[in-house]
Amino acid sequence: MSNKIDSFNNTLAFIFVLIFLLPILFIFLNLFTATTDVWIHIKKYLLEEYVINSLIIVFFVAFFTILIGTSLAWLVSMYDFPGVNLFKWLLIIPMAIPTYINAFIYSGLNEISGIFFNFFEYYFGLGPFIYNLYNIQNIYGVIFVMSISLYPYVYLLCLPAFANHSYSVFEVGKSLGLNQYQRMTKIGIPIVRPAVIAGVSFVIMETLAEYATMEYFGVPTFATGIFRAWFVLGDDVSSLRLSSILLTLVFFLIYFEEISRGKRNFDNPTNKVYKRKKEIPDNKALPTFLCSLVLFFGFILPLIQIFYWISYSFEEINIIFLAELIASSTGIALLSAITIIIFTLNISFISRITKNIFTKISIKIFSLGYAIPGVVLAVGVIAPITYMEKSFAKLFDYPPEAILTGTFILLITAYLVRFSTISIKTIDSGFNKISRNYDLVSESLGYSKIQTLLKVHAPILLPTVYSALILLFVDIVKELPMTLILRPFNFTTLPVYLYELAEAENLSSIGLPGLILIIICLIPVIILSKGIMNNVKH
Amino acid sequence: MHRQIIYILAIIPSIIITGCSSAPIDEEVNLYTARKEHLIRPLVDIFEKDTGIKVNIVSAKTKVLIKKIIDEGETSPADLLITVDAGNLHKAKLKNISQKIESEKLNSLVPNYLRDNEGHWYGLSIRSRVIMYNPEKISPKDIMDYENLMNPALKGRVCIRSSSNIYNQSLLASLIHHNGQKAALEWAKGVVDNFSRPPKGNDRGQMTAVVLGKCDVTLANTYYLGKWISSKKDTERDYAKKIKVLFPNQDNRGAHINISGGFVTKNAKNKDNAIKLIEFLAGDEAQEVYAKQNHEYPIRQNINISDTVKSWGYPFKMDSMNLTNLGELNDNAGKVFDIAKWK
Repeated sequence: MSNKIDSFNNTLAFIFVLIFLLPILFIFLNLFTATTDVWIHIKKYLLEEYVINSLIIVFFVAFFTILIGTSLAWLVSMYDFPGVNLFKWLLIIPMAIPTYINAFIYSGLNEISGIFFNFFEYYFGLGPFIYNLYNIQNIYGVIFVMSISLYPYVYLLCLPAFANHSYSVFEVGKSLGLNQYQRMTKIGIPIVRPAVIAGVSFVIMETLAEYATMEYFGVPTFATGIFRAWFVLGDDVSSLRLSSILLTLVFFLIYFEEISRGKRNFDNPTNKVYKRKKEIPDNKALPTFLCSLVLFFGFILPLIQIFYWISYSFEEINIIFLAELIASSTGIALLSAITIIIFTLNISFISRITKNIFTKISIKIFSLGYAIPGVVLAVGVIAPITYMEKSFAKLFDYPPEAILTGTFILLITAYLVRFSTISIKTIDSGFNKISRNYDLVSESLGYSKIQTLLKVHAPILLPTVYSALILLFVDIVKELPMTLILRPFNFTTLPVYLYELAEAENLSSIGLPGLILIIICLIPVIILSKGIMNNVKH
Repeated sequence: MHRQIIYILAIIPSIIITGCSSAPIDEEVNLYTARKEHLIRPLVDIFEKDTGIKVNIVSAKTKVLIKKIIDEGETSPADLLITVDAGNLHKAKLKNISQKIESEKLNSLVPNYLRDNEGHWYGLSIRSRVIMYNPEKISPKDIMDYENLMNPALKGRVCIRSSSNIYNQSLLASLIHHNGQKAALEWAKGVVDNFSRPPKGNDRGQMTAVVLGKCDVTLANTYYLGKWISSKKDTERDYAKKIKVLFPNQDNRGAHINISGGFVTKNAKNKDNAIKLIEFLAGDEAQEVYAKQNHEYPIRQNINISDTVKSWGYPFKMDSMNLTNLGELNDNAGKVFDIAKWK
């Protein structure tokens, strides 16, 4: 029985890995072709800039997201201050604003349809002064926009880590005479470390793959370099070489994450959470101020600008067109998210019940997708597919024809390769939280592995699957570069439309469609945060 | 058991969705467009109604679409590409993704200098890249020609967008064509010396900078001002009043023009329908809609243009160099910009 399942699972895993590896293999295969002039040009003039900019951005974005994410999570978990329960979930919502929309917004603030510009123009006649005052379109601007958009990923993962690891440990710490600071460094940090590392590696991958913001701000990085080599210089080889360097970098990152997590096991042995009174900070106003500050820049200010744009371009609104956009955006996101969940649930389960090295490696491979910039992945999908279509045509002797090219299957496959990471990470951490003792008990009671999955794992995993689904939905609904390149005929999503507006030098029309996209992302985020809050409260 | 049910649940919608998208329709044409969908859509609606041919649209940046057609190769679903700038159209021809078409109708509709001399691509609208300036700060006498922008008198008063922009590349290509590479390099260096700030933002951004006093003179395509004038936003209409258009080189070769245009792809499966669509877009009805809606110039002077566009002066003297040259000199223009350190 169990052997049969094992071989079935292995075959399944093998097929998945194959689908997954095709585009990645395609990228690396091009490494072995001859060096081109363009590559020599890139190496001589551009590579240094790409590397330095990327490293600076990644370093500072990682630094700031950890700083903001963990300290906010610590504040709201450990202290009692005015508005703490509200802040706890409000601080998650900035993740509803896609990074590139924040980039458009922060660039637009002092443009002629911006609130800064108009405020100063109207009251003081200082519009031109404000216009010429600052320019956010540089590397510092990128770091700011990325940090304020991405810190919730760290915050979100730290929150349950602080809360779920029974407060008892802190109580014990206190009774052993540790002061506040010592409790944070000796208990808080070690407990939260896996969550921080998971969160920040997520942030780093997102940063490395970010194209729209870098392009809009004119900061050359790996992602824009890959795009430039591929589309502007028209040299696939150089583009794929840059991609391979980037992928290698990510390999190291994942490896580092793995070793730093080590063999330590942070399972909560009892799954019991003790109710515990929160401490009241010495200065009540300070935490409230800090939380408000982050919330202001992460959500309130961008939202004010969005509403201002809406008031600015109210007559242009076309309801039917927007409704179509909403339907297509949410439809494709939901369908893809479900597909990816089913895919990753299998992989995670297979890796848990089988000890074989193949599945372990495949999980590592899946974690790579997220770091591949969307643009490159899109072409990585197109190329092998068209090659297969051509070969089929030759084999069966009919004129070459697009079978998969320009269909939703291609788009969903690309989503699958890119976004599996999110779901794998979430579901895997869910599985890891389930103590292995459960499996042993279940086995000793005569349950098969499938029964264990359905009757023991599934109920415990359900919230995790749920949050994975939400994370996937949010990420896919706001995905830009791959949708732009791979979408079928007559299919437009909200991000694509927004991007076209920004491209057409028409920032003020972004208002309503931008707001709708934010709301679509917001609903799942609220549901998600509520779930986490319930988990955390007890 | 449960798992299988979930599988089936997931597979059904994907089959439905792909099934719908690939349902066969007899008469159709697949359009890749670098022009924004909302500009193309009204015209396509008329075409669909007149001919019964369904037009499927995908829009993206020119470079993405061209690369996509190359990568898709023989199996590419695209039948035609519509984009802006002769430089782009010529590059597509060099990349061997367009095909020669023979249409008497198109040859009579599209003037000679606005189409490829081997019949690969055809111009569908004209745009002009002109000088725009702040009339309070600068006299039109000082900026009669593109060449004047390098005059030391304009030091710290010029702002123009980045050289990565194809409109600038094509303008420089025209200067290389008329004045030679050496003179063009001197021009580019001179203009860079006159910059009030490093290149930043788009054409509208430069126009805003002129209005708000960051600089006094810039280069921009005329239709951007048309958009400001017809804007529903007070600020943009106000700003439009503070900036003036000047068609350069009227006493000699004429103002630099460029086109939007299209070609039939090499592996088009619906070639006849694609030609029909291009013919339609070059016809009188589409030309009038197109020119008025986007404040561009029609390809023949007998077509009505918008009053806004007329108010700047029409007809004006256009540079009548063959636009194929813009494509051929594009690489040189890129190198000249690099040497001149025009970011």
